[in-house]
Amino acid sequence: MPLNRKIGYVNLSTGEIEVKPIPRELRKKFIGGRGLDMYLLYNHTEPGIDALGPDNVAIVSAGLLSATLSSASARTHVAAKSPLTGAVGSTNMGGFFAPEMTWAGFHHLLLKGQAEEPVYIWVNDGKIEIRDASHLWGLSTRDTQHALHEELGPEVQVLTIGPAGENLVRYANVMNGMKNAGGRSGMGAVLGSKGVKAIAARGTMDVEIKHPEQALEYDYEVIKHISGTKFAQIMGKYGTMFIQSVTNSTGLVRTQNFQHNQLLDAEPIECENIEDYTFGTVGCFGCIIHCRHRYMVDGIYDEGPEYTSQGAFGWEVGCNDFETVLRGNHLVNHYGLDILETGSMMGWAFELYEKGILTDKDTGGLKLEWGNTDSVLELIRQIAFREGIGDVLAEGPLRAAAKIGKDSLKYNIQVKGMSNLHSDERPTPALALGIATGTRGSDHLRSRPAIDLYHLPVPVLEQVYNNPVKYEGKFTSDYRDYEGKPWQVLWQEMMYMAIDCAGVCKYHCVFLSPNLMNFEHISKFLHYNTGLELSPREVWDVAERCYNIERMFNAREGFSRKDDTLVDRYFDEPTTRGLDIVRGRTIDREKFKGMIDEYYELHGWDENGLPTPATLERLGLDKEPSHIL
Amino acid sequence: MVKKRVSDREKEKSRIGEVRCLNCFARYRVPARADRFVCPECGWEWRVSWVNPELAKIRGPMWEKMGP
Repeated sequence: MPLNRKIGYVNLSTGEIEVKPIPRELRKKFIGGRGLDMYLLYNHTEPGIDALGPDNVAIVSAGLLSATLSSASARTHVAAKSPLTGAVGSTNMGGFFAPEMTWAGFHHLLLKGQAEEPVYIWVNDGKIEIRDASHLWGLSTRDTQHALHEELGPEVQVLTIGPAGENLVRYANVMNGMKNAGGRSGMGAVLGSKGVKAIAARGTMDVEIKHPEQALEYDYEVIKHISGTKFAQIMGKYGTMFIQSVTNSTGLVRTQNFQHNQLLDAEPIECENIEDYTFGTVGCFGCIIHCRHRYMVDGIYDEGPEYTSQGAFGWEVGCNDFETVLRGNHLVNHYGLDILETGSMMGWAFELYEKGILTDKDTGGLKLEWGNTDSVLELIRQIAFREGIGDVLAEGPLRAAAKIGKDSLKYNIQVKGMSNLHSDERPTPALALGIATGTRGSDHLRSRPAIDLYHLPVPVLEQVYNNPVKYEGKFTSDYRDYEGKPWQVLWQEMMYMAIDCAGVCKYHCVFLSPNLMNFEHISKFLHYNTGLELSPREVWDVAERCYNIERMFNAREGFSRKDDTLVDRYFDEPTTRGLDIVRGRTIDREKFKGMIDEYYELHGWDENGLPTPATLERLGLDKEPSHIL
Repeated sequence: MVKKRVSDREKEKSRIGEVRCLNCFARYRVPARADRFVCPECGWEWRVSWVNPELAKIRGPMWEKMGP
């Protein structure tokens, strides 16, 4: 049964390994995946620790529905204190690793301490070993996987870091396969600091399904519905790149750092261009959507690109060249860098260069000029290997700004020290609130009510957002409004947390389409597959509990209302491009403050953004850390 | 997911080939295989691509009309 999967503790300093069952009471409270990881993170760290030191932990997990008869249950989650922000570190990725780890008998691995020499962790049918990885150190993410396939067999799934993680780039990612990347918040750097090059998993331990016939029938029903939606058809043809058709056409993308909100004449990087490079689409474990292309450029295969690739190597750096998008996408995957943070840091550096804050002397002669594709590709390499200006940019927004000095920080587009997506939220208050309040820093994947962009009729919004908990206020269809938006952000926080606990892909829930899975579906999938009985409202309660423990972690590190904000440019610089409906837009400071107030109140947090004692008691968090696991 | 009644499903079927104008949010039907279309509500002209023979999507604006 999924509920009998265990947790393995690995002490890299002493070599000790311990395996424990996961108590059912914790499953009921946190389910698994991201939620249980956050419980473990809060319980196994002390405030103020060095994120790149031995006292930090790195937690790798599968969701509770991993490798069950629930579609797209492929997600792997990695958690630690973030070396980028000092807040919650958390990243979620697709691929095949989590199901393999589940078949190997484990849902969670908690790594602590630091190895003296490079190691990899071998997880196989109930056993965990620490093995020498000196022969792997220095290899790219793809070469590491090839080497471990040679060593352990082709069926093995590998989670690995690349040179960027070894070099402690504060936004290094973890990778599985060609492009499945856990990018955000620097989890690759945490593994690198521990000397862990990779985790390899192979398992043959069956996952017994509680009610197999019903589970299969229900999954078929859901698949049939999802595959019939327009969203799934478009996503299956173009992947996330299709989003650009809406956002750049409207004027909702962060262009040349933050100077504009639209890349003009963008036809060369529109998603339809992939048709000249693709060999077809591929998907993660158990997924029907197949949202990324396998493509070739310069004789090298890779997968993607994503919407984020278009942003990072397109509008962010003023490039209008699809092959630069494809090449940049490959390089970040190859070196193990977070694509979003890399693109944002480059866009910022280009603007600093334009303003004379960075000069040729700082860049070693590299011309950081808008549209200079050679500089874009070279700068990716320099960041990964911490060479020249790349060594400064590898430190992330706040530390790099401190090193560069002058007034460089005011041009950086970040929240809590993590860069914003390559989108421009000045015309969209709901999306702006979401990035401002994210627990891991600026975040489009943990709270974004993306369907707000679709101008949905109010009755549809009510049907989506009043379940399983009703909102007493009013919704508005206009994405430029402020009313009702705090609830939409909160609702999406709960939705994404619930799906992350289950280990199912966000593209199967209410994210980019209102017609996909919600709390009721997660409740049923849990019942049929695991026997864990949680009503839709109880799934919501779990999500709220997990979200609050993330907030508690941040509070313990000193984060509060002062950090739930946007950089001044959102309030002071109006948008310059796009359709008339989005031109000249800024975020209204007073209305934004009002949204924050309502958002805190809805959460049961005080005016400083901290969970009140009553809220903690209601959620059963008043005794944390409880050290049950 | 939003539960649909039979009448809603019929309505959705009739929306095959429809796209939503990003400027005025009106839904309109694109003639089969058309690669451009002018919104009858607001007059904005869009380039269109086809995901499959029944499903159109907006590809992008006419850039020369977007303005600086």
